[in-house]
Amino acid sequence: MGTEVLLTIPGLGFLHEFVHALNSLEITSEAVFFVFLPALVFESAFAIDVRRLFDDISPILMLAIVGLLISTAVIGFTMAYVTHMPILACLLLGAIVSATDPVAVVAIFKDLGAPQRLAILVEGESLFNDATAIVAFTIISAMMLGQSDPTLFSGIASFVTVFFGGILVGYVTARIICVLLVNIGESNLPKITLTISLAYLSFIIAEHSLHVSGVMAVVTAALVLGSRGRSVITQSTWHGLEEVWEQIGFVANSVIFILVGLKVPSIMAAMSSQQFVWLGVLLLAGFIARFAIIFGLVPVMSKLGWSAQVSTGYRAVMFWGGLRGAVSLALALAVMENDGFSPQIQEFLGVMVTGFVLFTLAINATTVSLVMRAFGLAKLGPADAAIRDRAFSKAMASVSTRVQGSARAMHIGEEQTNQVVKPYEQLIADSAKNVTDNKLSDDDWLLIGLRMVCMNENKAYAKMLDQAEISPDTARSLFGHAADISDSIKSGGLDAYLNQYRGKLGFHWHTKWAMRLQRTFGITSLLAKNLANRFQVLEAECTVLHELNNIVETQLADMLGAKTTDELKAILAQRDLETEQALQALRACYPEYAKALEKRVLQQTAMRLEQSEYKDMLASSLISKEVASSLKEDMSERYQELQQSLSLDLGLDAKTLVSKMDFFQNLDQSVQHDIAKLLKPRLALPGELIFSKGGPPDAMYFISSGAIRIDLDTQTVIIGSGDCFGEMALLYQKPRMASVVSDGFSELLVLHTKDFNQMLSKDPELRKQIETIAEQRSFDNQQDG
Amino acid sequence: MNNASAAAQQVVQVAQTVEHQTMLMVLGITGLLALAVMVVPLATRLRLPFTVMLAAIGVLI
Repeated sequence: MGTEVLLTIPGLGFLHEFVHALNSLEITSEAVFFVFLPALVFESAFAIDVRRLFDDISPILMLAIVGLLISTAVIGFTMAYVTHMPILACLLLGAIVSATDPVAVVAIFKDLGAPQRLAILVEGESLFNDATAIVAFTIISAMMLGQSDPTLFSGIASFVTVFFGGILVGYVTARIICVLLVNIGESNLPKITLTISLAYLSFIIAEHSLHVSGVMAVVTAALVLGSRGRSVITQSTWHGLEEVWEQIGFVANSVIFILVGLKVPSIMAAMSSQQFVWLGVLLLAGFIARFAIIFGLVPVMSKLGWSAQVSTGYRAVMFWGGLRGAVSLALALAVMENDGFSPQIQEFLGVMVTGFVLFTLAINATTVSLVMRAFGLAKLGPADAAIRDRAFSKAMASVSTRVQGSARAMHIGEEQTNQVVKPYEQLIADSAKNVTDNKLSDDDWLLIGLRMVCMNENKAYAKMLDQAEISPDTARSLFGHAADISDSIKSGGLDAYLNQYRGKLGFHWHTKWAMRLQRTFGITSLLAKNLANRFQVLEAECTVLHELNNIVETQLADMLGAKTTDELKAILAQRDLETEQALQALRACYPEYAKALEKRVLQQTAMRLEQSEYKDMLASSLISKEVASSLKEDMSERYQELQQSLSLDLGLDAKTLVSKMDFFQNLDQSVQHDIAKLLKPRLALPGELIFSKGGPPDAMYFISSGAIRIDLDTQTVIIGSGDCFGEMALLYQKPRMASVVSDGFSELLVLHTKDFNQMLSKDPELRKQIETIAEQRSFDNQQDG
Repeated sequence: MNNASAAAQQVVQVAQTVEHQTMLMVLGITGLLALAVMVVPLATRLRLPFTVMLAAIGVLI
């Protein structure tokens, strides 16, 4: 009424028109679903740390799927009992008001500096339960409108199809977009635009074309982009992307919440006293169901070992912070717009959902910070508090010195300078006391230091990707390594850190799988790609480990103290040494590739230097923008070679390997050719067991390159290129007399028993040569024995 | 002749209505965003969640 009186004042016509414009903006469920929801869901999922999310994926999925279904049932049956409305309508209400919205709570978390894990639990649950609620809503509405059979089995089958179908659509769409992102060029704008398309395309393809969960598709697409994207997008583009999505989220939230607010009075005006009582029952049932799920289901999961422990404080915040928002209101609007529902059900759902959402927004959102404070979640933990004290002390000392320097430079009098500097001196004295009072042990400081090193390691890889020093594949491996190593500190301290990085220096399942593919089918491309990636990963790690050592000394030493700094440097030096050894093993086997790789690194450095020269000239107005762009164009043409990926030739060609071996040098070309047909090339990894003592006599081996360690009972013998082994067991048909291990990367030629007999029967000369070697070895073994 | 002029007038009227509606929509959305921006410092000062303030503004309007 007051607003209307105000608007009659002359000159306020514009305002009148604005209010009229706002009222004419009709918010429909379709607008919410197809315009706002993809953007809001994508923005939330994209901002989540995927690795942290997957650390807690069990409780999140349990809350989002089982929890939501329990909540739907509790609310549905309670409301049906109290209101005597149809059970399906009440279950529909249960599904609608069980979808939580994290927007308000996450904003509060940011303000209060809540623990990251708590924010991820709340956001993760909300993302996935939005999808579950929409799927449950679709299935129950179809049953109510007579579009599907109301059986439990059909409900479960639809749920599984829609939920997992959405995940599949999101995954495939995101992977396609990731490929496009790599090949779309350097500019940021097309890449950012492509991610906007990804959000809407994945939603529409899933929801409209394939009738699976659009929300799950968007969540999955955002998570895939969030995890893989960093290795295909440069850091600057990534920051741009984050800012654009934050902006989109802000706009979408602003529009949707004001429009929802506009709609509330008309819906709530129809509320009767009976409905007011029903709303009370609904709130009670909703909160009891949520309390039971969070304080019943989550601890049971922890006890069964299905998820990590979630503290009581976290659970209290998750319970009270389970607000309802845009998704619930959109689903209620969808019912109100659908004439298939009776007006009574439409009014019932509209009033109940709006009341529930308003209650959680007005009461829970405004008081959740009190719950956080009550459980001490709004303050820093002991480690963060100790870092804060040291950071503060360091900053104060620096500020004080620099202020005095500035005062001298600006010829400001001593009196004024003292007035400004004196408070800092007091702060420095206070903070020094806090720093010495901290109760952290040396071990704690070492772990803090290791975590800081890990963060810097990650940044260093991102910088290398930005400067095109590493390929996206290599970057993905390096980011994965850095994250795993960082996680290991959290789970098992220093020992876990050491085990983790040593494990990373070993060979992973994908390399072993590629080896199997090469040995079984002779396919070498995958193995070559794997080893090339290993080469680049190790090269990059060596470079970064050198840099980290400098960072520890120059940047972290003040924060961590001398003792921790020395310990950290020793750990990094050991890691550097082991990484260098692993790299040397590869370099020894593939010297040509190593040279090509080094040449490329230098070329990239040259290109960066040239780029920075032009940038400096432009900044100093020595050249115009046009000249700079012409020079850059010319430069990119000259460095086109750098765009092509380096390929590693494993050299696993039997004919070439046979021709290189002294063993076969005396044989005719035609015989060499026949032998090459019988020999199977094989690459052995460092430390790989070729065969063990007592094993069956199934093959003999020729060493084309590398070194092999033979562990006899009394001694260990190393043999190298041109030698052969395993022949005695074949000649005398006896089990293996020793275990044989590859000492580095070794290229072998394998001759199986059947082929061995065939080859020796064809060539008496070769037979004699092998028999001589066997007799000599037998004699040597007896002598040693 | 009269019919043709009436039809032309109708077309002009429809075009004006559409134009007016589009203008109203643009005014509504941009004005709404300007309003939302002003809510940010208010929410900070009152220590209330931003979305709660937005919904409250919507109700008040």
